[in-house]
Parts: sequence; structure tokens; C-alpha cells
Amino acid sequence: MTGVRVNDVAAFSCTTDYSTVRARLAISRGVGCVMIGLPPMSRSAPTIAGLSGHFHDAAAALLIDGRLVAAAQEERFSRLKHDPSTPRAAFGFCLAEAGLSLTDLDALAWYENPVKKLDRQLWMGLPALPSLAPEALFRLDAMRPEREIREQLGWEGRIEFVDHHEAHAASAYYFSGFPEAAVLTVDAVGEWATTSYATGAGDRLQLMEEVRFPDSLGLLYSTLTAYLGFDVNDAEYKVMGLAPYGEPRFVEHVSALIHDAGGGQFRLDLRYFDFLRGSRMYSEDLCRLFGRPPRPLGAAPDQFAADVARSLQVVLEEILLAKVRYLHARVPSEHLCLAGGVALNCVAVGRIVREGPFRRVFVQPAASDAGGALGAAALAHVRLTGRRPDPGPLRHVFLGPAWEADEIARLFESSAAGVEDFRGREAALLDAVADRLAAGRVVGWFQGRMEFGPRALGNRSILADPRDATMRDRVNALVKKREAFRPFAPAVLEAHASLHFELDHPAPFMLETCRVRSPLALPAITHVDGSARVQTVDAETNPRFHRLLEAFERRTGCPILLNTSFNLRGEAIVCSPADALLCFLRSGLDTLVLGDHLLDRAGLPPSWTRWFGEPGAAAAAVPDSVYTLL
Amino acid sequence: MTPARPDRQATRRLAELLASEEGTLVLAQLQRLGLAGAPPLPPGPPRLGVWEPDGAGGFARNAAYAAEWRFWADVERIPPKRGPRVVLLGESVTRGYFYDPAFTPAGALGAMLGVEVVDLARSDLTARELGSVLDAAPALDADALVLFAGNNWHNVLYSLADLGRLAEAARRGDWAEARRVVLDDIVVPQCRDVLARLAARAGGRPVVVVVPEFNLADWRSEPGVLAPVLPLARNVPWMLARGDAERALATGDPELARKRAAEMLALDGGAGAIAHELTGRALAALGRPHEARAAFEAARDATFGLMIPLSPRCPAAVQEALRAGAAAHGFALVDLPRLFEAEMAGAPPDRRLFLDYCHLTVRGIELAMGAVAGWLAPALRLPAPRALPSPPLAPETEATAHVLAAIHTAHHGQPAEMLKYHLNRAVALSPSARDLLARYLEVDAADAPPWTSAAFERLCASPLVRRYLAPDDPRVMDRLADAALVAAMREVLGDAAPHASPGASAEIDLLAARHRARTFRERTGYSLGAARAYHRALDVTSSFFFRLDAPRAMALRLTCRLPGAGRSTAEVAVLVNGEAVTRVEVGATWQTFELTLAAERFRTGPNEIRLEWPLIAPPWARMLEDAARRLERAAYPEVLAAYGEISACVLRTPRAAPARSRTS
Repeated sequence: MTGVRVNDVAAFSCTTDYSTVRARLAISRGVGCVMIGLPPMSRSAPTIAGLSGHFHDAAAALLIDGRLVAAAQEERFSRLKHDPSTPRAAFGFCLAEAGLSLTDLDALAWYENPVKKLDRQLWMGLPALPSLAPEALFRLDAMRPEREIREQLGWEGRIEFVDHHEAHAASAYYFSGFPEAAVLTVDAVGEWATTSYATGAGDRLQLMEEVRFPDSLGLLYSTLTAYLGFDVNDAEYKVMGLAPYGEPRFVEHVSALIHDAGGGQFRLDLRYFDFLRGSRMYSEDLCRLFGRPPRPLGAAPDQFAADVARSLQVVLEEILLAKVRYLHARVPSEHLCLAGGVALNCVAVGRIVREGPFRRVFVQPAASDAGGALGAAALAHVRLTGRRPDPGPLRHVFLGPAWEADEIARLFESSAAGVEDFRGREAALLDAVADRLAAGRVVGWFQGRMEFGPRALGNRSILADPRDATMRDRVNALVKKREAFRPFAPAVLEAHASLHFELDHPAPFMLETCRVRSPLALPAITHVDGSARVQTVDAETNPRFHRLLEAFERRTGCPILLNTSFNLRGEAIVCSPADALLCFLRSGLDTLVLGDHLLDRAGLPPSWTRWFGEPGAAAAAVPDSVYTLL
Repeated sequence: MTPARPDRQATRRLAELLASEEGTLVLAQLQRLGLAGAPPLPPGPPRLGVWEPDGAGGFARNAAYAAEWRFWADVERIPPKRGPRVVLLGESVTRGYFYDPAFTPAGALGAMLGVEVVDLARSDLTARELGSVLDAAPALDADALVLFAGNNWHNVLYSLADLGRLAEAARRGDWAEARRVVLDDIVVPQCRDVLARLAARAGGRPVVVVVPEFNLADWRSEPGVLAPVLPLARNVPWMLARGDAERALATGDPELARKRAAEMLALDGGAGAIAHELTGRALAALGRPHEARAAFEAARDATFGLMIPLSPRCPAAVQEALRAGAAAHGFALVDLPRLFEAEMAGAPPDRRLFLDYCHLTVRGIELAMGAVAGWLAPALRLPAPRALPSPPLAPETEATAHVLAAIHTAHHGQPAEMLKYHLNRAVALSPSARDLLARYLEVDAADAPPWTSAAFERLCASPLVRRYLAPDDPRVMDRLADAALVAAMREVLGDAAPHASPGASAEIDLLAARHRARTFRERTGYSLGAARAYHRALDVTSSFFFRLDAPRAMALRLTCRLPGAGRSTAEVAVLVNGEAVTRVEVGATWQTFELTLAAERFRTGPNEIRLEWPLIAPPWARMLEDAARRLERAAYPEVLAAYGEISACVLRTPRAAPARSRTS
């Protein structure tokens, strides 16, 4: 590969021909600069793939003329949870889904500025230059994204690089359907930014301000996640789930870790943090502050842990609310767009929706780094055309692979499994499933295209009756094999949502919590504080799931099902029918529905349960003792 | 607290300056220098395989290691010591791969000596892992130790200094030097460390070291592992000479084959196995077995240094180090190369002693363990070793092992003749083998993961099959392009072969492993580095296999490029079932073609589409520099040349739209 040359143009793009490669590198001079690379091409309907990776949650997304046609996380194909590699399989899937070849693409977009990232990495290692820490070894490499895109994906053409938080902001704004909006992105760290404030107006998205590393709400949350004995990069949502069991008696302690610096800014007190050295997240000072040693990894949560979690949640929510109000003061829009990993904190989002100054809030459903692929593609589309992508709102995230009924049938054709084939008889299938759910069975439900993002929304879901007081423990212990304190979410017919939940708007992506006010007892989906993380289901975006909820309601009077992701603890959500079948075999699920085919546990060949009765060790691709800052 | 702003300005400027391939290498070199002299990675903690003390003087299998159980002896508990005890350590050869658990070297040795032999052999064991087992072994209070290992010792951790030396060799295209670094500087010292550790843990007790041997006469390099990329475009004359040599062997002219192979050796400097193999085959055909043996040994060792996945093997350097180390430490030595040479009356060892590359037949195990027992019996003051019963195992068990060997060798790309040998041997030994073949064909015909098939369950009724196919790990038996194996099985079964499934999806992705990859390695490519989203053709042909329920017109969508084409273009031939149907003009950048293939080109049942790539020199200068840079970044290099690359190859019912071609 030809070497690259540095000049002072504020962009980082490459042309097709190796012999004329010009890597125009720069770091934007200060904030507020949306980097524009090469002059817009005269592409009226470009085909663009967006990619994320090399951190955690690698993903690919495909835009054809601004329409989002496919998106998926690499972990679903590789089965390595949070797989951070260059998303080869996800990229291949996106092309195949659209029936395209490499030659049909106009550009690839990468969700991060590798030069800014290198800057931060070099700074983190100071005074060593370069850092010799094991996690830094051979990873100070600004060329890695381009090199691996060329080598591993074979892409010869144009690459657009966008800033990490720019990608987050674009993923939220351009898919919100809002004509204009204020945009807030919050995560652990991108290149330097950890929080950003932006405004969107029509085609234009303008970053206004950012908070820079190491001051980070995401890292604050991850640090206490580690201190409480959970895996960082992964288990922050468990801390959120634990919070309602606690009392906020450590709010002062947590507040000592971070202080509001006014405006959009905040500062971490770095005495309490050790992540700059990379060995662990928290310092001894933090342990002294809380008066307790760190909890061992995997330790069962106690009241202390719950109280710290609650206190952390309170502090996070207060800061976020303050920053949302600040943003509104600067951008007095009715609309707020949210993205970044912290935007998956549905409890905080619920408060922003209820107590914040914005009338409508859109959270990009794949808010963590996977969604960066979406944002990168959108920004590249804007660069190439001067127009925003399809201005309609993102109505669903069923953007992954699907399998035809005949393909699923072939999975069982040569087996001895007692499978019921409902092809052409959907009503009978839904009756059979609803009967089982009403009888207390737990069902693995695999339908249509896989969801993009961390939530299973009715296509790769485990479903159960939410009225059964024992169901939460049963699903937790036998199926999800996870901590008993964690709540499950409800999926509800949209038309009935307000009867059961304090919710006055559709919530199709399960991204905010609200109060349960149902006339029904719903112990399996009601958290200890009376809240629930609701998904509303409408007939247009997921008709079969909608009809299943209707069938369940006809039997029980309850238009709600417990809906949790179809995976075992520590594993990625299932992608293919074979993944789903294996997960079924390794779990205690009662029934598996693969498209039009239904399999009860009693119908399993004995050899399958003998071979797969016990779960194997789940593979994770991202270290979990310290945040992957590199 | 946050450093002052000048630091940030400085790192920003530095990042700008270092944001290039050269900048990345500068940083990597600085890190390498900064860590010069760092101690090597310490060995792992002592661990007695999957067993842990049970509190009653014995060792129980620990469920925490359940995922590893299938690699070790299928033994729930190692009881407390009751009498004389021998501990046998080693790898899959020592497990009795394909016969395990019905017949194992440990079992054979125990039967010969009449004492307990604790089986601590693990499939895939590396030297580093062996160190952990050795460190734990004293807990067994063995009266003697036997080490039969050395086939997996090329799986090494490279130090930063090693990577620097390998990078320099790669930059020059000096693969012989790379091999020297790997063997002399890494593998052999590692062997010495193992023996020193063994001596320390044995504490003066008798030790027998078995020197492994390789199936020199029969084993062939896997398809795609040709010469590495060579300086000065030498790959082209090398490929031409290779074609000549193969044709000469096929037409009965071994002398010409030998000459052409010598030309290949001059071109590749001995870095590829193929030239040595062709030399060996030619010399064998010329009736010069001793020289043939030397050539086959060179073939076995040639690819060390290429940093590509290798089937297990013990190179001459390690064999020598084992001999020397055994002498230095006072260990008894069972030298299989010498033992087998005597057994074969001077000819290179072959299928009579090996089921594949290194795993022994019953006869091989009998010879090896007989020699070990011959040393141990007097050392432990035991009676003279007993002979094994004749035959040592039931014919149906041996037949099953041959069926498994056929499957395994097929998945290492061995010639059809070898597959048929094992299959014919299996059915000759026992009619039960026919049932296994029929079941395998049923599994192959199903368009689903093998483990879902009822036929697979019946296959796994055999403990041998269960061990080999590992049904509890669905990744083990992935779908491969088994056309050659299926054809061989059908030929052996004749009319008794089960009816073949018609196959025939509406759309066939020919790049899927099921249609493209004949071997385990071809699934992800012959590189230890990251896989690619496209297929690299490492030879001048690429074949794709699929089945149709009936001949019909099909559209082929092909996106490909010629990595060595530079600014020119060349023709790629497309063949269906051996007949050329068209040629497409391809350059160095991706192009997409949609070709309509007439129904009469296809047939009901198995079909093959083949692409024939033009013989163009790979971009050798760039590839060598790239290999060196990868090593300098502590990444695995890509050393094998690609003659074509394919990013899409999809067969489907034709669309109404006319054929088109679009260039990126």
C-alpha cells in the first residue's frame, strides 16, 4: 500500500486509485467543525456502507439512496459477544441482503477519526511515549481502519471518515424524522469527546460543544460498575437494573467523583479513577471514599451494591437532566435526539422524556457503537449528495438477516425432531403459541429479520406470560441463566399501552421506562420500583408479533407479553435458525418457534439434549475488567 | 489530573505526523525497543489436564473444564496409586487418534507391561501446555514417565525479537532464513526447555522419550499451499515447472519430473513443500528410496517459517533435539524414524504405519509402544512385555478408524486414491463400515447442520465416531465441499449408496464453505491472521461444487479481480463440468459479471463450476514488504500468492434483465 501524505486539509478521505491515494489528515481545529472531505460527488442515489469496530460492537449498515436497507452487528455472525473486529460478516450480509456486489458501492464510511484517536492514545500513555502498556502494544495505529477495510473487505474505493460523536449524532438526528432537533450524545469516549451537543436543521448537522476525555459520564458509570463487581463494557445495564433495590445513601459520595462545571461541561475527579493507566477502572481513593474494598467480579449483589447503584443512577440522571436543559437553552427546539451508550440507560431516558424540556425525544435504538455505522453512512450520504438520508423516521430495526420458511423446514427435514409445520396456517400457529404462553410455557420466538441493536423486539425474543408471579425467576434461572434481580420488559399492543403504563406515545424500541398502572397484576415485568421498560407493538411494523399479542389477549385478557432477548447469559442474541435451535437446546425454554415451525421440548431427539444440555463457555471478544479505551 | 494543554497540542501534532503506515511502524518499533529484554511469558500454572485432586488421593474430572474433556482420555477419575504407575504424556498421536477410546497407546502399553498407565495425552497439546501438565505430573507419583510429543510444537508464541528477525527475512523474501529462525531460534530451544522441565519433574525416575515420525511417503501438501510469494516474479516459472513436473509424473517420466522439481527448488530456495514432494515422488519412481526419503523429509519441514497453519508434524530439527536431549538427560529413547525405517526395510514410512499425516495405525502403535515397553520393563523390574492379542482390536473398530481417517484426510485435501484406500480397507475389514458410509452420505445430503440429522446420531453411536466428530461442539463438523469424499464413498458402496438429495436452492452462494472449501483450512484461508470477506485463489484454478435437481439455465454473478494484473487485463476462463463456456476480461480492480449458463451445461446431481485464472506474477515486492510490515506490527503475514480473488459468486435462476458488467 502506498504511504500517505499529510497536509492541512480538514478531512481524511481516500480516492479509488492506490497510486493517487491522498490521505488528507487533520484534526479539526476546535469543536464545532463538521468535517467535509472531498467535494460532494454528483451522485444522485449513492449506495453507502457504514462501518463501526475496533472498540466494541462492530457493525455494518447499508444505505441505498438514503434508504436504510440493512444493518447488523458482527457479534451475531461471529458469536463473539461485542465482537470489535472489522465487521466482515456484517458487511457481507448487508451486500448480500441488497443483492449487491462490492462494485455496486459508492463509498464506505468509518465511524471514527483514527488520527484523533491516535492523539488521545498517545496522550493517555504520557509520560511514556509511546505507552508500553500491554493493551497499547501495537495498537497505536491510525491506519488500521483503512488498512483492514482494504485488506479484509477488499474495498478499493472511497472511504469517508467521520468523528465518533458525529456518527452518534447523525445516527440519531438523520433517522429521527424530525425536521430540526437538538442532539445530545453521551458515551464513554470516542476519539476525545465523551459528550457532545449538536443542532440539526434540515440536511445540516452542526456540532456545537463537546466534553472531552477523561471527563466522561460513561466512564463514571463503568468505573462504579467495575467497583461493584460487574463486567465493564457489558454489565452497566445490570447496575441500572440493580438501582431500584437500593437507597440513594451514597449520592454525596458519587457526587464527589464528578462535578458540574456549568454549561455543557462536567469534570471527573481523577483521584478516584485509574482507567488512564489501563489496569483497572477505579483507584484506591475511590475504595476509601466508599469505605469498602471493591466487590469481587461476579459477586452476588448486596444492599451496599444496590445503594451505590441507586446513588449512581440518581447522580447520572440529575446531570443528564441538567445538560438536557442546557442544550434546550442553546437549541430551543421541541425535539431532542439522543445516542451514545449512555442513551441506553432507559431509566434516565424516561426521566428526560417526562421531566426534560423537549416535547419529543428520539433515542436511536442501536445507541451504542454499533449505531455508529448507521451515523457514518448517513454522514457520508450527506457529503456525497448534500442531502440528508430518507427524512422519514426510523420505524423499525428489523434490518438483519431472515430465513425463508422452506429453509427452516430443511433444518428439520433429516432430523428426528417432533416439529409441527404450520406453513400456510398462521392462525393455527399463533393459537398454538398463545395456548402455550397462557399455560405458562416459555417460548423462544424467531421470526423474520433480526433486530439491529441490543434489544430483541419480537423477532429474536423469548416470550412468556407477564402475569405469572413465578415467571421472572423461572426465566431468569432456567432460561436466561442470569442474575435474579434484573427486570424483564413488556411488549404491549400499542392501542392498549396507556391502559397499562403511564405512557402517552409509542415506544417501539424499548428505550425508556415508565410507571406500570395496569389493572392486571404484572409481576414478571414490573420492576421493584413499579416501573417497566415498555415496547409498544403496532400491526404495521411487526404484524405477526402483533397478532400473537392479540391471540394472547383473546385467551387471557392481557395484551402484554414478557419479552426478553433470545440468548443465554454472556452470549450474543441468536442470528440464524441454527443459533436459535442451539440456544433452545442449551436453555430451559419450553417451546421454540422458528418462523412457521414449532418445536416443544418433548419433541427433541434425546441425543440433542444429551449433546447440548449444558451451555458451553460463552466467548467474549472484548475484555471486561477495564473499559476498552484503546 | 488532566495534563496541561501544551501536552495535548504536542500529541495532536505527533498524531498527525504519525498517521501513516510508516508512523504506525515507528510507534511499533519504539514499543519493541522499549520492551527489549522483557522476560518471556511465564508458563501457565501447573494443571493435570482436566483432572483435579478429589480429596481421596485420586483425581476427578472437573466440570469447569468440560469443554476440554473431549481432547483428553475419557476417564472420569484417576484413582489413588495402588501399584507401579507409568504416566504417558503427549498429543493426539499419543491419544490414538481415530481409535480412541477403543484402542489407545496408553491402553496398549498398559496391556504390554501389566501395570497402570495414566493417560495424560491431549489432542492439540502445544509445548507450552505440555509444560503445565509436566509441572503438575509429580502429583501422580509416577514410577516412570513417557513423553511422546513434538508434533504440535510449531504452534509457538513469538517474542518481539523473533518478529523482528522474521520481518527482515520476509522483506528479502528469504523464507529459508525465516524457517531457520522458527526452527533454530524458537522451536528447538522450546524443545530443550520441555526436556529440561521433564528431567526436573521426573526427579531421577526412568523416562522414555519417543521421537515422532511422519507419513513421509503418502502425505501430500494441502491444496493451495504452493510456494510462498517469491522475489523477482519467480512464482511464474515455478508454477510452469510445477505443471511440467506433475504432467511428467502422470505420464511416467520421473526423470523429467525430477529435473523440473529441481528447477522449482532453485526458484523457491526450498521454501515450499511441493518441489520437495515432487522430487521425492520422482526419486521413488526412479527406485531411489533413500534419496526419496530425504526429499519427503525436506517437504515435511519446508513450510516452517511461512507462518501458515500446518498439519501436525515433527521436523528433523526437533527429532534431533529430542535425541540429543534424551542423551544429555539420560532418558531412554524410542526413535520412531529409525524403528519405522527398519519396519519398512529402508523405504519411507507410509499408510501401513499412518492413518494420515502423523497418527499411527494399529501396527504403528504396536511398534512404538512395544519399544517403550521394552525399555520400561527392565527399568521397573517388571516381567518381559507381553504381546498384544492378535488382532489387537476388533475388525469393525479398525474399520471405523479407517472411515474416520478417510474423512479426515479428505478434509486435508488428500488425493482421491488415498480416500479410496481407507474406505476400501474399512469395508474389507468389516461390513459395518458400509453402514457408516451410508450414514455419512445421508448427513452430507441434508441441507442443515450435520448434528441435526438423524443419520448423524446413528453415526455417533460409535464411541470412536463420537470422539472424532464431537457432536457436542457443532463447530467441529462444519459443512465442507465434500465432492471428492462423497464420490469415493459412492464408488465404494456402489448400488448400496443412499439416494442423493437433489439439493437445488433457488440461489446458491458458491463462496459458502459448503461449495468452495475442500479442507478445514480453506474455510478461512491459509493465513493465521484475520480472515477476509473475499476468497483468495491460491492456485490457478478455483472449483465450486453444488447439486441440482435437474439441468436448467442458471445465471452466475461473479465479482472478481486479478491481484497481479497491474494496469493490464487478462482472461479468466469459466468452465462448467469441465467444459469451457466463456472467458471474461479481468483487471486488478473488482469487476462484476453476470453470465447466463445454458441448461445443457448442467446435469442432475453433482455439478462443478471452475474458474481458471491466468498465470500472472503476484505483486511480489508489495507482498513481501507487506509481510514484513505485518510482522513488525505483530500481525501474521500473508505469504501465499493469490492468482485471483472473488468477492461474490452467486448462482441463481436467471433474471429477465440482460447480462451486464460493471467496473468499480
